[in-house]
Order: sequence, then C-alpha cells, then structure tokens
Amino acid sequence: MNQSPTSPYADLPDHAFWKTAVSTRSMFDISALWTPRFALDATTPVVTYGSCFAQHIGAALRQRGFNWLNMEPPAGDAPRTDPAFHYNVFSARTGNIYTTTLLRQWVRWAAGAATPPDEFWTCGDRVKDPFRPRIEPDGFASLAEAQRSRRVTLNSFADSIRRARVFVFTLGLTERWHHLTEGYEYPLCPGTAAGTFDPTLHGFDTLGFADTLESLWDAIHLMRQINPDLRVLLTVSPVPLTATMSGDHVIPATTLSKSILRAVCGELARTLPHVDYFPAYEIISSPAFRGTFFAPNQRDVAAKGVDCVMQHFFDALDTSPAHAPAPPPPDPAHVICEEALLARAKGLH
Amino acid sequence: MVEVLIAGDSQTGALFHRVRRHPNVALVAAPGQRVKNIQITPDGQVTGYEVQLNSPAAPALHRFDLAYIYADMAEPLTLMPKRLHRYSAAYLAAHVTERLQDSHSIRLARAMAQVLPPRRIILIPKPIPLSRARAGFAAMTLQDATARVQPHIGFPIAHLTSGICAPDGTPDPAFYENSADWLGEVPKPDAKPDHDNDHLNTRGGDLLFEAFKRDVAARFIPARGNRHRSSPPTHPTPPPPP
Repeated sequence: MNQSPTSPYADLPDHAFWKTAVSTRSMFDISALWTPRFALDATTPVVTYGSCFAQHIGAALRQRGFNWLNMEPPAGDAPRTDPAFHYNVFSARTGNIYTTTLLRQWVRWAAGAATPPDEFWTCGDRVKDPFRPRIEPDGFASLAEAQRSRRVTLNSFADSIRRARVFVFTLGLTERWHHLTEGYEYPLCPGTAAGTFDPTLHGFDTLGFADTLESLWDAIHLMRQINPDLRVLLTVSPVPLTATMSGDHVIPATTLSKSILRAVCGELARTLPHVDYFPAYEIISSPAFRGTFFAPNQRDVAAKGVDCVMQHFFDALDTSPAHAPAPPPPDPAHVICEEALLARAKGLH
Repeated sequence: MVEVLIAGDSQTGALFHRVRRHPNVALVAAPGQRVKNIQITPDGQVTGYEVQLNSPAAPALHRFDLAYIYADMAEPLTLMPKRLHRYSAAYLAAHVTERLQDSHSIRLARAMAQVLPPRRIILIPKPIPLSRARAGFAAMTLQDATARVQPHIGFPIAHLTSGICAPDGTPDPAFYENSADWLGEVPKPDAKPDHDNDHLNTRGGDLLFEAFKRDVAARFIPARGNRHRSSPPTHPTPPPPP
C-alpha cells in the first residue's frame, strides 16, 4: 500500500507559519526573527556605518559593552558637544552613508582605488566638506583644516575596515545626487545643508536593483581585499523617505526604495557566506507590528521601537551582554538625519 | 570691614606674605590637590583645605562678603589627548568650553553658590596660556577660553594678570618660578620638570595681590551702596544648624 507523501510544510517550525508566528501572538512575543550566520559577541570588533538608523545599532552595541570600534574618537571622554560634531555616531566621522554607491565611493577612497575630489564649499568665511556637510555645525575654519579633517576620516575609515571583524551597514536610500561631469556622489543634495545647487553640475538619479546590487557587491569585495576576514551584516533602515525627487508620491517612492534595498540585502545574504541580514526593517515596518513603533509623524522611529529592534538583535546573538539589564534606549531625537533637511527646503519642519 | 575669602591650590602660595598682613582676608588652600578636596558643608562651612591663614577652623562661608577662587581653571584640559591636530578649531573650542565648565574650580564655585550669591563668587584663573597647559593648542589663550566659559557658568571671572602677563596672556618669566613659595607654611615641594615656571614668585604675588585689592574695591563698593539703599541684605540667612 502506498502511503501518501507528507507535505514538506508539515515539519516546518512554528515561526514558518503566519498563524503560529504572528496571528496568535502578541507582537511583543514574536521571536526568532533572525538566526545569525556568524558569531558576534562582546569581544568581536564591530564597526557601524550607513543611514541614520545605523546610529542606533552603534549606540546599542556601545551601551551593552560590545567591542564597537571608534576609529575617530572625540577628544577626552565624550562631552555633550560630541554628537553635534558627529563623534561617537559612526565608527569614523563619515556622516550618514545613505546609498550603496556612496559606500562604494568611501571604500574606494579609503582603499586608494580612487582619489577624493578637491571640491569644498565655502559658506561666508567657513568651509564645508560636500561629502560630510553636517559634521561641523558651523563649518571648518579654513580649507586646510577641512582637507586635513577629510584625510583623518578617510584614514580612520580605512583603519576601521582593517580592524573590524564585522562591518554593519544600514542601507537607507536609492535616490541620490551626483556631479554630472565628474560622477562622484554627494550624500545630500547640494544647496540643502550647505553648498549651492547648480542644475548644470548636479544631477539626480534613482538606483535600481542592479545598480544597488553591483555597488554593494563592489564595496564588500573591496573591503574584503583589505580585510579577508571581514563579515558584513546588512540592515535596511525602516525610516521612510523625507522627500522624493522621483516624481512619484512619497509613499510608493518609499516602497520602491525600501523594496530594492531589501531585495539586494536578501540576494547578497543568499549568495555570499560572509554576508548576513538582520531584519530591523521588518520589526518596525511589518504589518504585524501595526505601525506601533513609529512616532506620531509616522516616519521617525520611537525609542520603544529602537529598543525592540535591538532586543531582537541581542536576543538572537544569545551573548552574555544580552542577558544583562537593557540600558535605556537611545533617544531618537539625538539621531542625526541629514535627509530630514530635505523637508526644510519646502519650509516643512 | 570687608571680609574676603580666597580659596585655591598651590597657586595661592605667592599671596601668603601679603595675606598675613590683611586680617580681613582669609585664605584656605589645598596645595597639590587642586581645589577638589575643598568642600562646602550643608551648613556653609568650608572644609577640606590643608593650609589656612587668618581664618578659624572650618570658616563659615556666609560671613564673607566676597569669595575668590584662585586655581588652575584649565585643569580639566590636562585630560585632553595629544593628537589635537585631528580636530577642528571649532570642535576644540566647544570641547574646551565644556571641559572648563567641569573644572574643580567651577565645581567649588557651584558649591559656594549654595551659600553666597553667584555674583559674589569670583574666579581668578591661573595666569598661564592654554598653549602652555596643552601643547598643540596654542591658538587659544586662557583669556579666550574663559571668555567662552563665562556666559555658561554664571560666576564673574577676574583676570588679575596686569603686569604679570603680556596682553595675550603669555606670562612674564620674571614673575614665575618652578614651585610654589609657601614661606614655611608647608614644606616647599621639589621643583618638577613639568611644572617649569608654573607658579608665581613673591614679586608676582605682590602684583597679583594689588590687582586683587583693586578688584575687591571695585566689586564691594557698589554692593555696599546698594545695601544702604534699603535693598535686601547681601548676607543670606545662614541655614539652620543640622
């Protein structure tokens, strides 16, 4: 007698089914969202870069006593002024790196595979770095100081790649601004935080899936040439776009952007053994969480949301620091989001 | 008679022989301890000093018309790292301003402000340029730094360096020596290589004390005038004994 074949779904764990993983649980009991691919414990040297949401991961790692590398530390022991100057925000003072092409640009510069342009912007008697327009609130005192600071940051960024075991990168955007003739990319549209917008020099485009995948693959490949042991942990920022230049409504533009970023992360994590993806985006944005973790403007992530994301992160790592009492969540008001300046261009605050 | 308190660190040594001749000026000092050991008790007594002149034990702060703190206001900067070239001038200025607000001198001033009105607590910075205190940070003098701190702390800062330092704050070496002149009050510490010309000598102390007296006069006379115009008493009511 032939036994009918058992469905392959029959033996799947509870977390594979929406009903048992989501519908019948409190959102706060949803668990096992992430199984880490490689070890990350309190001794593992880890660096963090990316969009504004990446700042939460670095802060949480630091607060939990993980070995978060700060390759460009502030003077002394971190007084209150430091975040305003972008110290202790990322592992080097790069400012936000929103796109995968911008990450590739930073990696190429740090690796010596390309030379940063000489472009600097003057604001009165002060000088701004177009690639880090907000790291000095009032700009640099001189061109020489701005140039020296950029060299320090590039060296620090290169050192962070060399010394890290895990490189955490949070993907934020697919829309970007670049120099039309030279090709290099700006983190923020010129004329927004600093500089002057010139339509003959500054162009806009939107990265598609292929561009995003290729540039992130390039960046990871180049970083692993510098440090063959480097592992990469990707996340996607759940923070919606502040504004879109695509011509679309900001909601579908956000969906398109986040979908591309999420798909690229999935593709790289599926094909490269040294790449993993942590679902911070899903914890905030999935319908299972009902928008609970967004602030009233439905864009910013509230402190409880950040705390929930990081609790999932540390629970999955199952390291001893994760069992220590959780520190207070970082205050989202302290997160430096340059993209938010785009709304100010229209007088929206 | 005006009653004045000077609290400080080893810098006060140069003032000793002049203070002795002015019984209305009391001096308490914690040499070698900066001023971090000097405390104000809840009932307003000054404690924690090692040396005193013209003062009973644990003087009551509220009996003084003015309290001066003469110490190294730049002392928090000794914790700054060496590689200052990494930082922008704007960041260093902001950093220095913050650090200076957390100096032992200003902490002591804040403690005194529980007893005396802040305008009657005056900080006298140790007259050295920050470039001496922090190699590599020569762009800012102590006067620059204290000017940055002034709006944040709420206490007057008196620069009493006329004749002792150049207008840019550079000390005149003729008025400095390697170690404090304690006139036998405490063992004179050995000269330290890193304290090269770090303390005023007796001649420098004379100039400083003359400037100090002028500052007292300038501050006290208007205050007394106010008192005679039926303004509230300048002496706050001492707190009840514990």
